[in-house]
Amino acid sequence: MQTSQLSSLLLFQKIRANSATEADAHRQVLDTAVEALGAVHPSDARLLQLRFRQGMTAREAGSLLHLAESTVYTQQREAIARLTAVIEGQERQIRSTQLASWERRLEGLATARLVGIDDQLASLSARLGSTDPPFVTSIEGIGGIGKSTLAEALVRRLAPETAYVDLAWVTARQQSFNLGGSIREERRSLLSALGIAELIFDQLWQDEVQPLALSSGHKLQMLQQRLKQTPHLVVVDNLETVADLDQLLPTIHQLANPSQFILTSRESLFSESGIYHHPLRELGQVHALQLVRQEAEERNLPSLASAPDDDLVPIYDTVGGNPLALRLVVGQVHIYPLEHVLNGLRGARGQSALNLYTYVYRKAWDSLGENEQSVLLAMPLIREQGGELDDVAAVSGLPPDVVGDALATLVPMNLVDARGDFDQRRYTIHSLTRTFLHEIAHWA
Amino acid sequence: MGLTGRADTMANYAILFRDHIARSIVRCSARMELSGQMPAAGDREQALHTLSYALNVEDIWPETRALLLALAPKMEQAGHRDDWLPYLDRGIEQCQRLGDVPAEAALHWHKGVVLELRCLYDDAREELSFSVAQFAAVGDSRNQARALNKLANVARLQRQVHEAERLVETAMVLLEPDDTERAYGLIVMGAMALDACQWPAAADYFSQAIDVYRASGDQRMLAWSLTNLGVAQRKLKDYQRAIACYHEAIAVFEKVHDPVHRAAVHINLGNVFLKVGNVDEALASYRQAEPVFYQVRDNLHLAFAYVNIGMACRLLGRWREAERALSTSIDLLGGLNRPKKIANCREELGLTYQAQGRTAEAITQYEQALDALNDRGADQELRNSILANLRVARQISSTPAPAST
Repeated sequence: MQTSQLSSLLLFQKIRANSATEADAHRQVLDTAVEALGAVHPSDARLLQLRFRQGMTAREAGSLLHLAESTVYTQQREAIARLTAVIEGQERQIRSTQLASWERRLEGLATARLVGIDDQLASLSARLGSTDPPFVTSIEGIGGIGKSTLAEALVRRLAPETAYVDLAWVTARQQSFNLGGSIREERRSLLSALGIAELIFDQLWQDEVQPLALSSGHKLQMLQQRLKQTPHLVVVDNLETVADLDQLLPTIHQLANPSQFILTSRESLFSESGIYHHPLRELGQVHALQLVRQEAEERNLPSLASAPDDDLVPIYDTVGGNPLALRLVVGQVHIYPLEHVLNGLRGARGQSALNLYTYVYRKAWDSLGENEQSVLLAMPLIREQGGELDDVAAVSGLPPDVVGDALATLVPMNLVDARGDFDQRRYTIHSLTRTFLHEIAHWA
Repeated sequence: MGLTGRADTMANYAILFRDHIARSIVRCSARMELSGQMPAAGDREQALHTLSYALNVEDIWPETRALLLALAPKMEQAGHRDDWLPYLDRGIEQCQRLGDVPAEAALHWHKGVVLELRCLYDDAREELSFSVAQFAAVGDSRNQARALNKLANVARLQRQVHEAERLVETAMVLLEPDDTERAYGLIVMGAMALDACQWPAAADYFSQAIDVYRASGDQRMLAWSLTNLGVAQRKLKDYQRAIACYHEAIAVFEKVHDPVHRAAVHINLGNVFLKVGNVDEALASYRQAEPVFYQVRDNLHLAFAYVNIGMACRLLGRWREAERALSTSIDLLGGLNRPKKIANCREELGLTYQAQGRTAEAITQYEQALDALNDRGADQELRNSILANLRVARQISSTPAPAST
């Protein structure tokens, strides 16, 4: 199948979404542009029509327009240059309109300066810019680690330079944690696969007249037709809260290619094929302190923003590089002394600290069996650089195969990080998880 | 209400976590035993990490103490200093809480050794004095003698010769005639003979110690004795034997994974090369020592390394490097009360300036070197050398420059 030379244009893709063939879309882009050109330069438009729509030779067109053949070629070159400028202008306008429309669908998470994710943004942008499979990218990590923020930053980065016809951003989130330290319930019931598909549909068709009483199945069919025809970007945030994930993932695979899906999830989808996994780790100390200072500056806390590293390191020691927890600490410093805030987190005292741990860990911890809990409780005793399975087994007192089974649950839940290569895996935990487990174990 | 609700559940988690700590300690001890001479860096890190928890749990103190005492010499040998001292402190606190005097005596000994290596001699003496008293209190005369010998060495480093001699004598009385610890006393005596410029006597003490350690198979102490013998041989101008001693010492320290003492031998080896005019070899040897001392924050030996590097660079005409090394050395020595070394260093810097025609700066350095020596009679040779250089520099300075054409 021949691909139109205009296919990298959003203008083309928008038209393609409602055209039967690529050739039709190609023709419509050019016709629209020539029409616009004709409003300003009628002779250019006329010449291009004769040459390329009616298929006249230069001599025939010259004869009709009373021009020498050589003049036809000169004017044709100039007309094409002006036509190109018209198309570029239309492309700019359509992108600008699209950006405004996408902006309304985003959550405003990645509007501030982001810290420590430049490399990840670059690699993920390259990945999503590729036309090769997989067409599903999963950003995975523990609560508060910045998955949604990274996904949004990615969308913002891709928006001006790629030819996605449209964006859908849907969230399955049930709760959110605000920087005042409280949890807000966003949705009582779990979303189903069909529910997610309907949300995507609603966003992509929001500016179009829809037939009344469209069934879910019919919507899914329309969605599939559109997403398969032209590239769309679809973000499904907080995937782990979807009720029937085993139903949703096959649906997503059906809808993907050339459309790209970005999923964010607390649970890694290692058992699923056709997914590019992007584990999101906590920030290192340098970036964590940079985030603290930036947050303090934005919140007008000059003494915290200009504090030396030694004063800020206890924050990192307590909550590690979890951006949500770091920002919570800064938010709390508006009200309490830093030491008080950190002690609260260390001892899970105060509603904010309890809410943070509840938001990040409660559901996961409660879902664990006895062996998994025991293995997780052994993890603070493994040095920060990580330990091998035998080390974890020796500390937990459980047989290695039982520990292996437990890790097979804990790693996908991102409660334990598996690092290293295929020869040697090392297991470790985030600092915030360590602090949470200290509290679980009543370890002062 | 806590994070997980019921109080009995929370109590169970607390018990489970303490069980995990106990198992972790046992695991670390087993790995220490398996690792032989020197555990891998990862095992040392894991042991420290485990200790940071275990030192808060009184119930498992016997296991924790075993790990702490097994780890102590290995940590010192691997060059851990400031990062290791807090664990010794917490171990000592735990001993005091639980009334474990023998373990406390041993931990004070280890702390004294680390402090000595950090050149914190007053603090080292305090720790070793505690150790002596506590070993005496529990009737452990051999370890009391070990602590006395160490204390003697620190007294020697502080130039308290009579005190050092007295301590060695007291230690010898406590030791059985065939105890290898006697050899450490010989080393201290030999070092004092070196300080008193009695080279043959020093060589004799060190040779005796070498015989003892060769027979007992204590490789590390053998290497240490060889190093000292190398110094005595150099002073006796037997450079080939000195080089042979140092090469053997380096090989042994390498074998027993003791980078810090190996670095110290590299300094000594460099000095012999310098003495026989092989400046490039000398500089290469000094350069091997520098990063090790920097890493373990051994400022005294780092300063020695820099003054020697400066001297070698001056002889090779590498002025910029020489100035940088010597200035750094002066800064480091300033905090260590080493006036003779500072004077030596300033003289070197003066010579470096003078060789570049920067006579005024050279004169300033010579004058400051003499100020540093003050009226210390024992340093007459150095004083005379500095005065001679100062005279030459002043002469050059007062000679009018030839008129330009």
